[in-house]
Amino acid sequence: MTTNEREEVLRTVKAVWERFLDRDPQGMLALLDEHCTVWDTFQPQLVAKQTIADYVARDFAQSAARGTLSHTMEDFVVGIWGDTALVRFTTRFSYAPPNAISRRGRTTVVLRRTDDAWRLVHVHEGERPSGVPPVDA
Amino acid sequence: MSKDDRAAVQETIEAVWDCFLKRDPEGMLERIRPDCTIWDVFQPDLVRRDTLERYVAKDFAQSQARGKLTHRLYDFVIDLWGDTALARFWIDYEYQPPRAHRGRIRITVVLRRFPEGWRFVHVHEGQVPSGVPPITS
Repeated sequence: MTTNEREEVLRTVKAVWERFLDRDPQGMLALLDEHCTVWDTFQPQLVAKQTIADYVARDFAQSAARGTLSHTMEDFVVGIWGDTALVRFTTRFSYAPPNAISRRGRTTVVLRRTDDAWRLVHVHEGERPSGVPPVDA
Repeated sequence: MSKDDRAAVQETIEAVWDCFLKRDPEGMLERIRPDCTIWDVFQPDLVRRDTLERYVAKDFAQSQARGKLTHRLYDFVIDLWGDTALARFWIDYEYQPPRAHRGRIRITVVLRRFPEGWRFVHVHEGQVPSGVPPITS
């Protein structure tokens, strides 16, 4: 993995969430492979090709119904082999009122390089767990 | 993607969870690359090379401290390109008393094909979210 490749991959990943903050669904969709799948942080079912445009629209709508969104991405771990990239990172987000919420999360992103551009083929988002459930019955 | 490739990937995945049921950490580690990363369903921090064996031992210990474990892996969505495989699926699991616990989780596994076969390079496990948090105002 070259430094340039790592930077290109990270730029693509960060751009997806920047498009979300900028309320730019078309810009976000342009960075996703047409076959991209998503395990969303809120929605339980796997989002697949047939439903991704609806999913993005719904996600932008729920976001627009809340206050100002702050979002940080940290602790990037990047692996690249051939035309595949695997990125793991942690997130924190917080919506101001109305409908305020805040969460800490963990994310996995898989990307493929086609026509010299990196595109997301899978996203797995989820909340950071609090630890192993007690074993003392 | 040939049917054989897809079957081999799914078999590798099922074998890893089968090793967990059979309390066989060595069998599990054989199918996981030393530099594999894991977002575990219970443990909040990313498991990496330096913590992998300790993580597996701890996970087997917490499992052994509960009752009999059963699980079901289902609804696989598998894509392959080159020597990379991307699998998404669900697991329902249940520990019997005396320390009963059950749950449903969403999983992403990234595998690479090596001369010795398909091997895990990343796992993301997460609880199933309950939906978009309420928008009340």
